[in-house]
Amino acid sequence: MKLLRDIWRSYRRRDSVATTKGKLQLVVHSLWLHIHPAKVHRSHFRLTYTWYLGFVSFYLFLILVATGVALMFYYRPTTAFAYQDMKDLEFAVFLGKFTRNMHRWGAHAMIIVVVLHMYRVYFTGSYKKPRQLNWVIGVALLLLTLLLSFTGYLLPWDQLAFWAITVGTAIGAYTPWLGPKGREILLGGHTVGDAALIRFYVLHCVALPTLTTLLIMLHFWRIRKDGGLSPPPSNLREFESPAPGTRPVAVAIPVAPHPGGTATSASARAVAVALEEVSEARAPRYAEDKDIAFSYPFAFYREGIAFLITFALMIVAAMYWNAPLEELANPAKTPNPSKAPWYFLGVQELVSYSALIGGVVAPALMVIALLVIPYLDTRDVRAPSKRKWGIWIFTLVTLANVVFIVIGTFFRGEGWKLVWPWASP
Amino acid sequence: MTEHRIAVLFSLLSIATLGLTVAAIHQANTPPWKPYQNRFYALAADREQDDAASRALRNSQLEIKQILLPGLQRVDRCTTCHLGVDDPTLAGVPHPFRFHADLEPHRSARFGCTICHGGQGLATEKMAAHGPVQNWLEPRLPKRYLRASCGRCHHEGAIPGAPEMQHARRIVGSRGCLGCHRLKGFGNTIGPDLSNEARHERSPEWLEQHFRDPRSVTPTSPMPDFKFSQREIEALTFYLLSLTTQPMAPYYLSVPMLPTAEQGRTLFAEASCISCHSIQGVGSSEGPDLHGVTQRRSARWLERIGHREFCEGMPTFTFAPRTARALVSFLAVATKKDARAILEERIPTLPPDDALTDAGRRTTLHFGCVGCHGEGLNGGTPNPNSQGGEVPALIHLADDYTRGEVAAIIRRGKTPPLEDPKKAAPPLYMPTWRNILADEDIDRIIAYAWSLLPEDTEAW
Repeated sequence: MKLLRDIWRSYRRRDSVATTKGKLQLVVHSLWLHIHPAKVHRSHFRLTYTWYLGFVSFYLFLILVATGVALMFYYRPTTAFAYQDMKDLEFAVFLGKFTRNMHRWGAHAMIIVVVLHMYRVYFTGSYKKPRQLNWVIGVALLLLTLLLSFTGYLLPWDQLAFWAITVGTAIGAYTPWLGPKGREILLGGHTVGDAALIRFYVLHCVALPTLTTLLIMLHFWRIRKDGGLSPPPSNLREFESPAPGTRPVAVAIPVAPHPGGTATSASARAVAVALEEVSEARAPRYAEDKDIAFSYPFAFYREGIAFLITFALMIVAAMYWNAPLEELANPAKTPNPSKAPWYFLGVQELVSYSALIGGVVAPALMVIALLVIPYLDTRDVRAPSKRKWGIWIFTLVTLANVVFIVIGTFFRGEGWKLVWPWASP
Repeated sequence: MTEHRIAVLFSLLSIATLGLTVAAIHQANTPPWKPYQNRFYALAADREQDDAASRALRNSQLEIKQILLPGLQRVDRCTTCHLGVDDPTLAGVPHPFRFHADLEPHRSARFGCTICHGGQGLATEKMAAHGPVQNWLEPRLPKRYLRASCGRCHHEGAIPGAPEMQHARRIVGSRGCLGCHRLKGFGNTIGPDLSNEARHERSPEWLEQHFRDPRSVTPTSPMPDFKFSQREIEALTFYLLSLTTQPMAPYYLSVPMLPTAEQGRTLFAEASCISCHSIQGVGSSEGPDLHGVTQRRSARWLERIGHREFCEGMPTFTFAPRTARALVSFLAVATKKDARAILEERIPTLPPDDALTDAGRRTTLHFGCVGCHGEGLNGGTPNPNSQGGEVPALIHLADDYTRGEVAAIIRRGKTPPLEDPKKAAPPLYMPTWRNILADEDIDRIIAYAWSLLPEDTEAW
């Protein structure tokens, strides 16, 4: 019995979560949880403020990693086996179809959620000082998400995959100088074949996920260093001048780093350290401080609910909605029309008007604009009602993208002619 | 929302998600093939007299069964449900457990199912396996076209049990398909390459309709309406369904080399055995008479036919073992009637000029000139908006052109002059033959065309 108790204690290393100290220790003593602050402002709980989109993006990434690793056990990245392995997953592997479905829909969902997350951050002005760098990291993560999805698109090696990548990389090749060379490096040749498959596989399973994981860590770390989540503009006293260091806001209060030390002296030291950190990190200037709550259980329950809803929806989608798998890739048989993956169809639609402007200039401008937004828009104003122009432009550009994607997906038929989606081909 | 409700919501969602996970595992655990296996083992157990064996059958492990066929580049899981295919005692039971009669020598362990039947061998669901489903390469063949797949391995010669194949091949050989289509490296490129037509997911119905009226399924098709009869339509569809470029292992392709007597007869004629030997006194008396040789000599000895030092005075022939066996099978049944026929085939009965024209006629058939220029090069194939509205007949060629001009047109091809320059170009044109026809072929064709000039018109 004593042995069991010792094992349990060595694992737990904290007081009961019924106590304040235990609640703090739970977060601070855990490698996995300590990136989370031990206390958060209640305004962050409001569903309509963040919609938990950042969390959902992260959860989807976790689901994708888990299902992706499972799929790697069955998938061989050569043109001889790739397609057959897809069929094996569908027909012979236990939970194979389910896993692949979840991976596929999870990837699509992640793109949508990441974009919505970006829109939320823009809408609430959360990219502003001091969070400019984190916005840039976020843009990089958006691009990585797209690249991950794009590289994964080829792996089933069916007609859909083959031609989507052929078209997608052809669009990229419109870039002067860089484009053709870049396409050659990416594909390992001039056409999509065995070399391209292994390159996409390594990028998809090793290089890009590693980079994404590192950037996600950085993204979270910056949230903490920038003083936690941006406070909702309505809770913010925007026009009051800040008085650094005068308002002790508990964003993160590390407690009792040395179990041997007395609680009081340790906490006092910790608070001092915390204050220093807070003032350095330009702590959010809340109107009310009484609304600070412990992360456990208040934040964790809510984040758990976000995860459970995400996971449950993914299970339902994976059970009843099968990932597409067309016939085996056939370089000699071009489908008409050949379409890029849906998230690039807006670009393909633009390319159908002008290859250079639509395929290169417009996307490049969009990415550059995203990257420089926080450095150009330096007004210290976050309330959406006071940033009408910015929000209008951002919304319109996003909507235009959506409209182009919808046109490209549903209204483009043979020879990229406009058709009604319900007209049979 | 109060904190209490959040906690309750969290708990409820946890239970719901757990429930969904269990449901997903249950879904994966109850694939549609399991009930079939259960039914099959129940059936087998009922037929079993011995109690212990019956019980063992009832408790059989349910598992996916598959036949790995690397030589045919496929894996067939059909036997997951069709469990009785190899068991002759199950001849009377209902599908899907019924025994497959008349399968020899195509045993399922060596051939699987889909190489003949089509369908998706990897699938373990009824609909996905049998179709019709979207996006598969080999639709399951309907019964009347099932034997088309014999032609996928049996590339030549008569196929016992599939007489349609030879009939179909004869039609294709005489209607000039290769004038426009490519087939296994031969033929021209006005129409699509047909070499892999069986794997182009075209249904037999589509193919039939296409032969009835090409433009009703492909509005832009330049293929003329050949007014095929229903019998011809079926034969052509049958033929196309036999065409695949899928590589098969030598084991399967060695099939046409099975030592049949018919094949032996061809070899006997080709190797000119008759110039030294005789059968029942017919032939040359240089070497021994071969009648009854299979009774006089052992099979072992006979299989060495053609080897060096096989027999004093006989030249060396390099026959493959199977070839030698085919010769032996022929010798076992050969009569003087055969010998006479072989002798007749051998001696050219045509005078040299006629021989050249006749060779030219064969060439126009073989390379498909007749496809557009008509049988006997009489013309008549419609070609809208070309001058005259038809592909020209070639019987008056000698009046209008020199032989050199004609040879140049054949080599380089020719676009027909337009009737109305404003309308679209005619669908058919003379393709380039430079890379397909040898000079001798062209000479033969020209000789044939020149021979067609009607006698009475020579006056003017």
